[in-house]
Amino acid sequence: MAILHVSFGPQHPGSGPMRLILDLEGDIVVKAVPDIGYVHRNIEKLGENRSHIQNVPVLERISNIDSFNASLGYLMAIEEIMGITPPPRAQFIRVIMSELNRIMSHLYGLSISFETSGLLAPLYWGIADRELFLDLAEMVTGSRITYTYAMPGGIREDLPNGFKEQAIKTFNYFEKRLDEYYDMIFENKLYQMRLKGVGVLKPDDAIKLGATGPTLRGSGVKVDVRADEPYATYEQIDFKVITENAGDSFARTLVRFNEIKESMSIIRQSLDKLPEGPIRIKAPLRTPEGEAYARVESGRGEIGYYVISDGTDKPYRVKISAPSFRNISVLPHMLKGAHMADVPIILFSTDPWPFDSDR
Amino acid sequence: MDLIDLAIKILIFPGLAFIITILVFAVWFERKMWARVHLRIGPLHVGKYAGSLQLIADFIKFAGKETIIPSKADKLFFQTTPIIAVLVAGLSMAVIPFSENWIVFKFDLGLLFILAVYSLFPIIILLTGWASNNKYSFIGALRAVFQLLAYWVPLGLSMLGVVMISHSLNLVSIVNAQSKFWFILVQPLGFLVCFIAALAESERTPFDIPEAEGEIIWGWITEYTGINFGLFMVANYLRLYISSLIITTLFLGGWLGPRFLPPIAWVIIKSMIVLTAIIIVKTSFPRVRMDQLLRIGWRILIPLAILNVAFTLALIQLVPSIVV
Amino acid sequence: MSLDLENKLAEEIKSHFLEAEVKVQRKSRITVFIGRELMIEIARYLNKKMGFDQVVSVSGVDKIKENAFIIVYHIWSTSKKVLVTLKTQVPRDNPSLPSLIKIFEGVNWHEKETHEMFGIKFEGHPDLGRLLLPEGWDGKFPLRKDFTLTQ
Repeated sequence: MAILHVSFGPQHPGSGPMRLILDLEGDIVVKAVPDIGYVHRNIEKLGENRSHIQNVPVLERISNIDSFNASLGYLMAIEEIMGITPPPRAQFIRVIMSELNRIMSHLYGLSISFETSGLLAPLYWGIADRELFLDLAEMVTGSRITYTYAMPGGIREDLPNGFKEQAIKTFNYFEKRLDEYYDMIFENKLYQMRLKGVGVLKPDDAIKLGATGPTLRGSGVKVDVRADEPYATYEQIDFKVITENAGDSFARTLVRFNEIKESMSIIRQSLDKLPEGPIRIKAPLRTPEGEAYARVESGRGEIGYYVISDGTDKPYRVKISAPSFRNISVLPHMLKGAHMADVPIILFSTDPWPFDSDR
Repeated sequence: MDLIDLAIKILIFPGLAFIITILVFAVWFERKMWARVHLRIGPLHVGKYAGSLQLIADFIKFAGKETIIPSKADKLFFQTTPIIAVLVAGLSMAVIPFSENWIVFKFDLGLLFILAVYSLFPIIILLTGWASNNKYSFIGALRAVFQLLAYWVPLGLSMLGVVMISHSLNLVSIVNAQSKFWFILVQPLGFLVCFIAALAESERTPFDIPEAEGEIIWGWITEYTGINFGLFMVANYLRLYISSLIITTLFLGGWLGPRFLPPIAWVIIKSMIVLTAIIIVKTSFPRVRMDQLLRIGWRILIPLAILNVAFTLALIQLVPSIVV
Repeated sequence: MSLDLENKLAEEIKSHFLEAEVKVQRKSRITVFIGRELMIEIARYLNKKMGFDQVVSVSGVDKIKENAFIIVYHIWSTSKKVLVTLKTQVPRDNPSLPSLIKIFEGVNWHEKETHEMFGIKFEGHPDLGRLLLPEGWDGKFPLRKDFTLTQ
């Protein structure tokens, strides 16, 4: 049969600003080549010309719906080079904001992935419920999506009064809503028919090809930076690493769904254990010479920051290892042999975010 | 006299004016219903009562937009297929009875006529997809043809049970035969198969893969803009409403009902109930994939429909008084 | 915090590769600096014998003052939970080194991006073409220190 070359995106409602060049034989994908680079801003070069505090707003734009995690990694690397440790209260608040971002990012990613399979109602529900968490973030930092909230040595401002009560109220409401979501989506026989067995990634391939985050955990591999290399105050908090064994799109989506509940539990524990104290310590203006590699678990996977400092207040080299960059490179393996109708389903089950794969 | 009667029936009821009014209402109702399930409000501003004239505003917007014809498209077919689609969709309205007398064309082979009209749609869709000269349109058109052909057979088979009991293909006689009890009570399996097949024939979720927005943009309608797009939307909704009218006529007793409302009102109410069921199905289920769809059509629905025919045969032998 | 595991691993690397400079920076961080000829051998050893299975990052560093490029591979072990930073140096006017793609399949795009940004050739890589930069780019390498942003 003749091969039909189809360009899936970038002007496509089902792809986001990246392109997949598909070779179709009938309805089956024979080869898929991702084409990224449509939103390349070369943030690593920009980072070399700015001081550390100026870099925080630039670097959090690699992943704007998950921006706190993006800036946290950079600051952890800087603080390691400087040799300072933020005070415990700042670390706990960083964990709270980090998990809040994870919930927001997962809700957004899940809503979009439900829409690709044809299920429209959860798309609207997810975006509407996400507003409650954006309101919580606005209470603390003043903005909804990109915060510039953390800084070298700690965080900018303390939590406002009434945050804890508002957060608990939101979580109590949302935990009930999660049960409704589960009944509507994951118990839906047609949804299971569309997603189970589609885009299977075996655990050995996942590790070898470099998958990360829920894509890796959906194949049964228990790798999570928060558990492997606890940063901030994750060692003092009790949480589970969520995995599913099937390795198909259903498993990956279910991993992200269950992580939302886990994040809410982490925030509850942090709010209970929050100590009194200062929220930042003074960081030196010039960083000593040195280098550090910091790893953070964001909604999509592990963000790695490799920072080399040469003694001035600007970094010599900032290298960002982005989760979507690694996950999208696994796509050709997953898409081989899939139906064309499954392409957006598999694509969105890995939660691609072209802004951080392009940087 | 006869000519004036025909003119009233074609132009006003159940003809052109009625179709336009009921479509405006049906689309408004559908959008409001979706919005409630999605936790939104839906159309709100246009029209004095909660956005009821939204569809008219949309249609005026469509009419005002520029019609873009791709340079490599087949100009003759590209421009005529929307009109043909609307005409063919409206054609089956001619034999559907809204009461004993309110029917445009009394036809002894009414049911067969409707099935024949349904079989015209694959041709129109294939023409549309081919004339657009676009890969996505073509893929969408092929999918639509496969789907419509696969579900046309169960649609026809499910109606066989009704024909066997009422001994007629004339829609007026079929409704009259339900004066003792509605056919849904003796043909539950037939009703189910007909409902599912009608959903697939009207290209509605969960069977809307030819128009799956996530993958092939708008499927076979991708290249159409402006008034052409509007006409295709009209044709699609008309197909949907006619499907619900057919289900009402065949299984839910048509215009029969208690005397306090005129018969026409009963038809409209019942078809609206069927439409509500179709809308709820749309909001609750994801799309079925092409090969799964064909598997359901050929391997599950056809055996069920044949089972229904066997069941009806047995029923007629055992309870001869069912047959009118 | 005890660094027993890291020290043990560092000892093992040093005993097998005498020319390497091995240092334990902190918990879960070991740095190894080695010449480019031994890169494939040490990568194979780390992968097969010591359980380092995931390459999380590949980056180039432009040491323009020393007229050299440093290429850094960060390799994580999912079982031992330790990160090895494998560094090597190549001269700036002829930057090329063997690709590790046959040992770690996941370095494909990472090496492609490093080539695109710095101009470092990875011998044996199947396709060092365009990844992030637009088509029709004039061939300069953006992350080198002599490429200023106003160009």
